[in-house]
Amino acid sequence: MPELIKQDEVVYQVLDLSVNLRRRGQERVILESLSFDVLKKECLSIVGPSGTGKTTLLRALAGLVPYSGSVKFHGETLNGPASDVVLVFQDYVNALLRWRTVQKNVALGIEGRIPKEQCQERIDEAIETVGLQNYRDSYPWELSGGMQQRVQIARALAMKPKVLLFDEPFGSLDAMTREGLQDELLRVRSVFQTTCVFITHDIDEAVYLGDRLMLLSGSPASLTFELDIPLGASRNQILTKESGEFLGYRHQVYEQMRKAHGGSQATG
Amino acid sequence: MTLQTANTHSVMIRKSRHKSNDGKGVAPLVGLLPLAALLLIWQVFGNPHSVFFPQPNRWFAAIDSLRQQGMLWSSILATASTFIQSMIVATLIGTALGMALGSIQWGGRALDPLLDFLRNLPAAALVPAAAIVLGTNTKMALVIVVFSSVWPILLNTRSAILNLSPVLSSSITNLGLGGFRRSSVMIGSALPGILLGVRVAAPLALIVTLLAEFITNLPGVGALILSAQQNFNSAEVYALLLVAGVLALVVNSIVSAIEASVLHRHGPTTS
Ligand SMILES: Nc1ncnc2c1ncn2[C@@H]1O[C@H](COP(=O)(O)OP(=O)(O)OP(=O)(O)O)[C@@H](O)[C@H]1O
Ligand SMILES: [Mg+2]
Repeated sequence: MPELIKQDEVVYQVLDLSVNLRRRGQERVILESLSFDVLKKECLSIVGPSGTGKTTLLRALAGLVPYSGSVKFHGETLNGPASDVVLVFQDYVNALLRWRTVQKNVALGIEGRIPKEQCQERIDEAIETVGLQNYRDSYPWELSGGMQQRVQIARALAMKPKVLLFDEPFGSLDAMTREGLQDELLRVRSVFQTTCVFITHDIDEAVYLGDRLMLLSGSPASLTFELDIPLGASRNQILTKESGEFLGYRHQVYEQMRKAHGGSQATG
Repeated sequence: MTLQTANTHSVMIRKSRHKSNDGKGVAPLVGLLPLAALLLIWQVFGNPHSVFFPQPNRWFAAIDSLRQQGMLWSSILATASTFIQSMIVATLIGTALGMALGSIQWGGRALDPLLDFLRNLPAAALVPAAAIVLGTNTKMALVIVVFSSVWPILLNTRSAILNLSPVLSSSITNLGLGGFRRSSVMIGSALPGILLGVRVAAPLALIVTLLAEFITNLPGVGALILSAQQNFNSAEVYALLLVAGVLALVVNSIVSAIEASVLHRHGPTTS
């Protein structure tokens, strides 16, 4: 019985996942034998040194790269682009269509697929969720970086995906904007209850947003550390980040990160 | 190689586009003042009986007599119709082939020597061959013009597609867009490049249209020039030169207008 309930709660079941990429005729193992689950409604943070293969992992979860091993999405083997899974890229400039207004960008994934009225409703809802209702008819290049990233998030939300995959979405934004968007993300998650995988190289961000955290390191990359972060659903930039629990988790991750860095430097 | 030339082109031309936008369309007219002054000086100081350098007032008389014979507008119309039809066909073919070549992984680079060979074939040399195959008719003129003006569009479209960010194509795939919807997003993103190709192709197409008429004596401004020259009617030759110049200006400003109205959505620094 408990086995059955657990199956229901698993969104991704990843077993022995390896990814090889080919560049200039040379094939390299990027990810080696990763096994983990992503549970329904959780936010899984993934941290790791630059160039380990975090983006590659996320692309594998979205079905955008060929892999070996097994990735099951809602119990079914993933081959080809996953539907109901939306990726939010760090590079919002290129992820958005610069010749479409905010509204039209948000519509990109749903227009022509659902009835017009319903489509408009979803667009409005998504735009309001990220607080851009006054910029519906602006073009992305007329907006600040943080606002553009919010457009990309709105575009993802409008799809009403089962899973949101974030690839260092706030990496290129200033600290204040980033914290604002982190809180927005927490709020969105509490409303939509979407399962999230969140990649970042910022340990504070990973702990603040995650219900669980994994460290990806080494070359080829493997999972070297895992941590539960039971800080609850309501978190606060000042209070949570000053709490002993938070600092404890942060400390652990930091130590592991350092170890991973030292290790990779020693081997590389 | 070809891509590089296309790119340097793009930089130069994009700059000039912004300049003319800043001038809000006044600049080209103001820029014509020296020409008007030259014609005025020619008129005032020219020799009224010169055979080789007739004064501008005689040009206008020549144009007027052409108009009265009913030759002027019908010729302009014929030229314009060949030109417009070829531009439409060249744009469609160039965009489609450019997208196809840009979408395959190696960018069709193996075909570069062939493309270079074809696009450098001089139009004048093609006319006789086309005349043999197709006969001397407007269809043949159309083929010649399309053939010579399709390359800038094709190559610019291809490089625009090749230069699209991988993040863009990943996100299109991730949002589940395929087939027609995928292509339309790609075309939209490549539009600055496509229009750049059109901008380069348009004057080329006009030149080749006139050339084809000139060589084959098909009705059009080119044929008028030929017959004026054969009749030693120098005033008419100059007058038709002016007409051709005005046509080129009109073409240029139409292309600019289309570009401006489409590209204002793409923002200031389209990469
Ligand atoms: N298309 C590709 N072909 C071959 N190798 C690739 C390809 N894309 C990435 N790589 C390599 O795979 C490794 C992992 O890249 P990836 O982008 O997944 O790292 P990352 O952890 O996301 O890094 P960052 O934190 O800098 O974004 C890198 O060493 C990179 O050089
Ligand atoms: Mg990355």
